[in-house]
Amino acid sequence: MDILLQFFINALMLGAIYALAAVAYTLVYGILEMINFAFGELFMFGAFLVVSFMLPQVSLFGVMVPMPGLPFLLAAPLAILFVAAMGYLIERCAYRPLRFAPRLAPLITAIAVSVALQNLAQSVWGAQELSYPSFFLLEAKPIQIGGAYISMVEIAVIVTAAVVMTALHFYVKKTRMGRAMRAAAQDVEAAALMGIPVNRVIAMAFIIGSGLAALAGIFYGAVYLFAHPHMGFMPGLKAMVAAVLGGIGNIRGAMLGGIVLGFAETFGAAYLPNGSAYRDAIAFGILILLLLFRPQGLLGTRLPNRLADRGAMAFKGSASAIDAGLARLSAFFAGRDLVRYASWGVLAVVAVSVFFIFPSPYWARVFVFVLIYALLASGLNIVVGFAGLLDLGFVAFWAVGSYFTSILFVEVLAKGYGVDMSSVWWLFYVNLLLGGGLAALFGMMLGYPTLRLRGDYLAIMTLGFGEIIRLVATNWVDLTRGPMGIRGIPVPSLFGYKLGSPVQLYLLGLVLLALAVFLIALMVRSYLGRAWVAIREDEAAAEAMGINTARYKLYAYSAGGFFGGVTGVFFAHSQQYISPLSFTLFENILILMLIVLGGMGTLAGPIIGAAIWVVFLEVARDMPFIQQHHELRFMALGILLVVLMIFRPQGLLGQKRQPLMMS
Amino acid sequence: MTLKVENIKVAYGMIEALHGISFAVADKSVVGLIGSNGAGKTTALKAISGLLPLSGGRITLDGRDINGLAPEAIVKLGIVHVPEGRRIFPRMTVRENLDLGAFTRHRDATVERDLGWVYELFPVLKEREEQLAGTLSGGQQQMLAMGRALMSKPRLLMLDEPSMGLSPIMQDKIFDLAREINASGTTLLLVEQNARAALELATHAYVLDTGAIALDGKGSDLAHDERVRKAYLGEE
Amino acid sequence: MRKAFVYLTAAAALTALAALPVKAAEEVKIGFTAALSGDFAAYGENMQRGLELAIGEINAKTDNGGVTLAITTADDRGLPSDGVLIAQRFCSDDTVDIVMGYSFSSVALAAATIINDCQLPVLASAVTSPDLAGVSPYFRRNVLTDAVQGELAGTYAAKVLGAKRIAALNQQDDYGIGGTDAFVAAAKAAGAEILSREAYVLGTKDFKTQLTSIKAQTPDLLWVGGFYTEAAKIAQQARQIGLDVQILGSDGLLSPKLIELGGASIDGTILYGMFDPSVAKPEVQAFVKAYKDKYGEEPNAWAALAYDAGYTLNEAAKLAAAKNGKVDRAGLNAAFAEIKAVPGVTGPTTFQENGNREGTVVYLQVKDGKFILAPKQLN
Repeated sequence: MDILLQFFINALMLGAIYALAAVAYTLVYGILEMINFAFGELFMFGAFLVVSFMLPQVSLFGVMVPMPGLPFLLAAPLAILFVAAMGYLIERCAYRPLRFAPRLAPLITAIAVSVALQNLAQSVWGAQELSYPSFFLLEAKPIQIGGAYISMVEIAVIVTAAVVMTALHFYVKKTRMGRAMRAAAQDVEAAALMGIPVNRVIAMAFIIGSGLAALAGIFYGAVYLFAHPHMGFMPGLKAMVAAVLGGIGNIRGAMLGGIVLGFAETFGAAYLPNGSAYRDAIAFGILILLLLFRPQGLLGTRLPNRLADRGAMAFKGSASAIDAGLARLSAFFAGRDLVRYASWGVLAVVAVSVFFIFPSPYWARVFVFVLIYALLASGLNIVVGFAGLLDLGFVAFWAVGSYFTSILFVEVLAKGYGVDMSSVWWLFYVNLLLGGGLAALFGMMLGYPTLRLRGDYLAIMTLGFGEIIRLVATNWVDLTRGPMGIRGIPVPSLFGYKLGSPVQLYLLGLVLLALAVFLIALMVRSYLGRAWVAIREDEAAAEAMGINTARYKLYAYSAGGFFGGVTGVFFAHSQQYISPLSFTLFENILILMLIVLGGMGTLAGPIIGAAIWVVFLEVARDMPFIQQHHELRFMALGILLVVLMIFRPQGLLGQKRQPLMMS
Repeated sequence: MTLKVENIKVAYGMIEALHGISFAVADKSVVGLIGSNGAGKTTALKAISGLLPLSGGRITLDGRDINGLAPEAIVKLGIVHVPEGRRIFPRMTVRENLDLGAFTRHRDATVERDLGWVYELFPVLKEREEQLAGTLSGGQQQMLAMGRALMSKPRLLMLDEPSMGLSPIMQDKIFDLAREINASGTTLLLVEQNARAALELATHAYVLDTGAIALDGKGSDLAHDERVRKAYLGEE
Repeated sequence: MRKAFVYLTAAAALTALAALPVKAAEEVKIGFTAALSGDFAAYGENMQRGLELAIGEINAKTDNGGVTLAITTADDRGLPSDGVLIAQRFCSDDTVDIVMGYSFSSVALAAATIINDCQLPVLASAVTSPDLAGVSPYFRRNVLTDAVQGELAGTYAAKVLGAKRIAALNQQDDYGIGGTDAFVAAAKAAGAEILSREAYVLGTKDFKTQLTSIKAQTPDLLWVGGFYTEAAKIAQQARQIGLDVQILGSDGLLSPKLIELGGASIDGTILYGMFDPSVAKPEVQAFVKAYKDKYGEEPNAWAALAYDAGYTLNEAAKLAAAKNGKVDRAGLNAAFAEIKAVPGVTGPTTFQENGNREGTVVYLQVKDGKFILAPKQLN
């Protein structure tokens, strides 16, 4: 009984924190239909700022700076105000210019802002955890009920969350601005036509949302007694999941979703076998189940025709948009064929000649990585660039391919049956296909439940899938050797001749990439590719035109997955060692950014993006300030992408895309 | 109150939807815009209400340029647009919808008075005051949309396809109400596919065809025009 | 890119030319790699600070056998793939004589084949996976493997502390799993009962659930095989739910941050390490003071091991310089095999043939916000 009570309290407290942050996601999503990933980082800034204000001095950029040393009750509101202002600025500078951009643009910008803020925080406060200064809530004695203990902080969290939620409820129900916010969430365009200043309402949603995220971060820090640059990432994802659980856009739903998630996590970790190692997977597992059976969320209402009903403030192109898209596509391939072939020829010549000028095996190895990332980005580009489906779980396919070949070679053949791995050198080539095929199958499995979902739901679902695969690879030690990784994977060889040197790997990778690009080009030019573009440009209209969107989305997932799997096989054998650390969400984001950088929905874009970024990362290592602040490399990427999204959203190579629609 | 639309062009991305149209709406009149699907009628209204940017031409209200103003500023000037498909806020009550209509106005006795007037025009709204708007019938939703717009005390009310999807009886009722609203001193700009009803109501009408004005004249004149009768009234 | 290559080659050629006639001091260049950005940058940063402190002190010496140390750093983000890339980078860079650092075993394992192929010596200071033993004749580390540590700790728990009922928590990575496997085996062999064993992922914040379950098992000892960041939270939260149990932790707990983050709750916790900041030995105190002066914080186990690695490298470099008149990769590698009992703040360093370090651990206890030598030691 004591145990249950203790679990109950823990769950309620955790749920309250998730709920606060989930409301932030839901507020903004309701109006803009955009997931502001940066709330996770604003959550983190809330904790850092309150700690900074409370301490007598803080090290900022490595310099000790005297601070006011305010009491908690003063520091917390100040931190919340600060973060709210940050939220407003981010909306104003990074998101508002994209109000009419294609739907993926703000989402990718949000991810970029989040990466930039994370690394900014590391530059400002350092990589160490900052401990939370003691204050009255922490010093108070816990209440004891039987064998269960409730600390004052926990009570404060639960009570404050309840009060804030109630206040918010009245705010949106009763005040002028709150009503305007609800109206905008239901129909932005109609709200504008009623004279509701939509930009101000959106800014308000960001301000309130950021404040709530900060409050959640302050509490999270106070409960676990720390602040850290990456502390907001996971809770941010969980809050997002909570918002979706409750029915995104629905404030009461977000509260409920947060509480449900808090309970599921606490009790799952306690009672499931090996539950605490899988606790992050619990949230994503619930999410996937929910999206399968009740995609509108717990409290969400399913409107008969949401698309027609809502009318986002965007230019709806409907059928004419498809025509334009198709016309553009055919012009893309017809009129400029000569130019295109010529430029591909040039690219091929450059690729081969790079091989002659490698000054060292190091640069050859760098270009092996360019090829690996180019392959991954090309695969993801099918899903994101051509079919317009945001995929944040693509690394899972990469992992599946890698683990498939590694387990087969090392764990099964060599260790299990004592087979000499060099005698089955040909299996590597077979595995390229098998690994790709297996990943394609996973793609189908992932695609199937997501078919009915649109846009952002899909993004979150794929994210959950990717995280689950990574957690399984980490925790299913008997199969994958877990975090120890699998080593001794043989290098590719041909009739006993080893292809293990960086230059040989580069040439092998080049062949793979050429094949991949060729296959992707074939697909894109066929009816398949046109169907993808039609889905990307306007799914409803594509469906109306008789395209079986579900089937073509599945094709996109499995085609993308196939190339991810192939890359995984090549990756494992070129590295000779794999571990779950390679397949993180951050890597996925990076691959996504490569595509955006080079140009979404183009064949050469992912390759150019990969080349620029990988080479930049390596060259940047030598810069003097990078030698001291390594995190700046990634902050630079984040900022570059935000700027790119605003001024050249089609990427470096992309054709100018028309701002057709938001949904 | 005079609205003048001069040679405006509007494009969706690279596709131009309006190729330079002009028309005028005189004070207290009822102006009809008719034309087939895709002719650009809705686009013209969205351009006036500030939802779409112009790529050419200008729109003036009493001689003052209003292009480039935000939608809420245009509402404050007295132009309000009842969009196609009603677009009421489905998860808010009828009363909340009406209150939002008065968003740009200061809360005072005149708002209460106008609410009374709207309830007088549409008694069914009074009956369903606390009901969620999404649960109303199509005709009731159209009334709510019009009532909501009237709450902003407009000088010019733009109605986009108010009769769409309604039963013939309900259509007649909506047009009667429109006439009543006009009689109370509000200028109307009416976009309709039901050309017959629109021309009956309109003091002046324009015929739009693929993004350009094809014809214009008095409503009653156009109703007897050979070409209009053939193309839009379905008569031989 | 081509331009960059030309510059690089030109620069390399120029430095080579310039270096030829002078030959006064032999510069030994360290290629340092660790996770320096991302979630776990703190551990890499500690190592870099410890190493850079040692380099500064060594270069300030007036007579150091004609050897000076230089460093170039590369962030591996804790990713094996970056480890491969960086290994190749250091291999190809002729000026790099030795690789140091590595905050995660998996990164070192991924890099091992490449380093071995180009015969570049490695002196790692934080990677404890037994898989790394004998991975290459060029690979060495000045930290005990988690298997050795865990075994010592298991025996200590059961025999010295007299624990009968043990609950174990381990970080879900090679370090936590390896150490805890050995701990559990040794404790069982010494007669203790293992009530439960649960894993958590590095970066976990909430332990209340596990601790609530553990509380119901009424253990007399809680083993934490992990890092200080999580251990501090475990101690805090154990106290919050009224679980009062002796905590015994692995050497990943050895950081002043443990005390800072854990506050009063961490008091009484016992842990082990090769570095005892409380020892009144002058070199330890000098190190602690110098580190504090330079970085404004106290050093932890990561920093201390990296600091000692710097001095161990210096000894090997001086030996190689004395023998061959120059310091190159092969000479340095041979010298590492010869040096014995290099003094340091973590005790003397001697390498075994498989690259592991010889040595044992000391047991420490947190008392009144300080590390002290635990009243009971093993044998």
